[in-house]
Amino acid sequence: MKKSMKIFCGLLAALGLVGSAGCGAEKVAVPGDSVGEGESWTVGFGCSDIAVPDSSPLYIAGYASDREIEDIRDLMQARAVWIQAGEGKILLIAVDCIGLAVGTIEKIRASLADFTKETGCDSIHVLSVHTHAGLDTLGLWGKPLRDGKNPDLMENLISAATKAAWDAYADKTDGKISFGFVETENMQYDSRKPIAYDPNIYQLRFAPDGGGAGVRLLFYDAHAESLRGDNLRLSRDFPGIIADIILEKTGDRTVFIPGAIGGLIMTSVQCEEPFDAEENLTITGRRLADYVLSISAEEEVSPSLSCKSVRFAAPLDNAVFMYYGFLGALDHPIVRGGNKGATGYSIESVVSALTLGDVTIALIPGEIFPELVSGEALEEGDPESIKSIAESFGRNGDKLLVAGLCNDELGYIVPPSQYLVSEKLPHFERITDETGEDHYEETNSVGKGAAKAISDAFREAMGVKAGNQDRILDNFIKFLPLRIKRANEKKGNYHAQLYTRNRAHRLCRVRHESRA
Amino acid sequence: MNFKNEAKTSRCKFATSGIFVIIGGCVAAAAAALAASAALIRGLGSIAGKFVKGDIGEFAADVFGALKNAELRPPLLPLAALAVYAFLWYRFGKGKKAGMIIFALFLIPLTLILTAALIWFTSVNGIRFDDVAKSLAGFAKNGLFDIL
Repeated sequence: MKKSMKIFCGLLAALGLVGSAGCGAEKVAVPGDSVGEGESWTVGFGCSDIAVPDSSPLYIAGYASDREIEDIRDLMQARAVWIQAGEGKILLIAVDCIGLAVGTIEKIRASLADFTKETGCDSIHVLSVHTHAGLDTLGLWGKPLRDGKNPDLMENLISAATKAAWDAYADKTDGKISFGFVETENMQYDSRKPIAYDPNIYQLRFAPDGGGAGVRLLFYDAHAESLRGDNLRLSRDFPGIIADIILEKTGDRTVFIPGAIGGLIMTSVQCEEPFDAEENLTITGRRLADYVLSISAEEEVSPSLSCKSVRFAAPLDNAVFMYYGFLGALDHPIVRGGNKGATGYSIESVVSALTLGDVTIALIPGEIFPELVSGEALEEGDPESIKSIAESFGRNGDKLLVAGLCNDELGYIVPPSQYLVSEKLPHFERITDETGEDHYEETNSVGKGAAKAISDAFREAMGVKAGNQDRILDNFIKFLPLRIKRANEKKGNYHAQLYTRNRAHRLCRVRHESRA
Repeated sequence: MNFKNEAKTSRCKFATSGIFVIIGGCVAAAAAALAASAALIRGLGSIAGKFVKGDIGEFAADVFGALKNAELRPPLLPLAALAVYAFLWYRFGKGKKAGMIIFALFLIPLTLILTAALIWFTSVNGIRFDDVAKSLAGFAKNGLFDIL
């Protein structure tokens, strides 16, 4: 071949690689699945402060944008819990922040590559406590259209999460887990009709066999914003107060997990008028801690664990997400086409179904409205509720918990029947409906189709066989540099026949069946 | 009669014609895209006007700073056309005065059009520039920058 032709072909090949790089490839990595059963639970806890960097700016997240912190009340923390039953292992990391996009969470998982190698655990789930007195970790609270995340803070956050994970693994010990709950009164406020929220605070309490400090996972439907909107002091908000009180009174370490907080469920003002932020914070934390410590009727959770995760794509209607994604300020994988929304794009994320004995925990990547979990007040056109899905798989609906803002933060997940945006400036202009109801949540949601996408993904996560053979084989076929013929691809049942490059020889035939 | 040379000349002519057809197609496609976008580009003028009033220097520095680390994916077709053009220049235009003049006539407008098409369809962090521009222009018409 002439030299000029070789150069030409080389150029075209290079262009082909550049042009097709990533074409059609899914962007979100899914946490590994895990399943196991043992004689007892093995649980460990780790905690690490997230250092506040000297660099600026440091924006406070949750309310208006472009506001920098003025003081530090208490530091943000990363709290990790190792949970194991037999061969089943998961790691939960709760970070005191407004939210973490899936891209940031993938960086945390990448920093735990050695951890995964040593422990054999790749079912790592990171959630945000959703404190509204923390620093911007999503990128939305800086100057308009500019990334509000401080790069040094994000590095410190990843380091703290990594340290907490290793500490949790080192701390592990055998013991029992008990499930209990108590109904709270006059602690919550639903700012949007219909009034629908779960008033219970749920607890999974680990007690070591040999005595000593235990671990408590608390699930509660409330935004961590008892300091309210004028606050400019860095703080964990009431989850920090609860953890400190429980540690002082029992020695147990606590992880607070926000439940179904969309709609907008927050703690009501607990202090007397005039409003005092510090007093409200202290009273709220103390009262909730008292509720937790009052839980008495506990049931033991049998030591069996399964965790299955599913990738999904939600239609992206909210152009603001698209603009921030374009500028790299939001760390979400936004994909052109697919299950596309009004923008022509979809946003990828992950839903997981975790079972600990007879307790089911839905790991939801956002602030889901309670109606979408319980099924109350849903109307025609709304997707199947999380509780209904869990019960359809034989799970106890009274022991269904929600871990919100887990593995991503897609914003509010609004029932389609309630979804209302401005006709002229959808998602930019906040509007009220004819009853006077404020539809603020829509301006911070990805779109109307997110609720159904999550419901469908949760059903798939509940139904997928442990070990997820489909995904393993899918990835194998995608990246194998041989010619593949996939036949009879129907509902995941397919044959894959591997040929050498010139189709001269069939290397093997792979038959796979999945269970719907 | 030199059949070998005649055959070679015939093949060259055929290849050249084919390549020019490809280039012509790329130019036509790019020109059509830009023509269809003319209204949008005019619409973006209102956005530019808003930014001129503000401190665009600092804003531009922040935006380009963010894009510095962006994942860029240029569109394949204009890049391929540019590559074909570069090849033709190397193969036929090099060292020949007549060829250089002909290619100069093509070079400037073709490069401009293909570069514009390149930018227009380039993906930044997985999102196409034209999608953002069209969306912004639409919202600008509805008064977005009046409420921000």
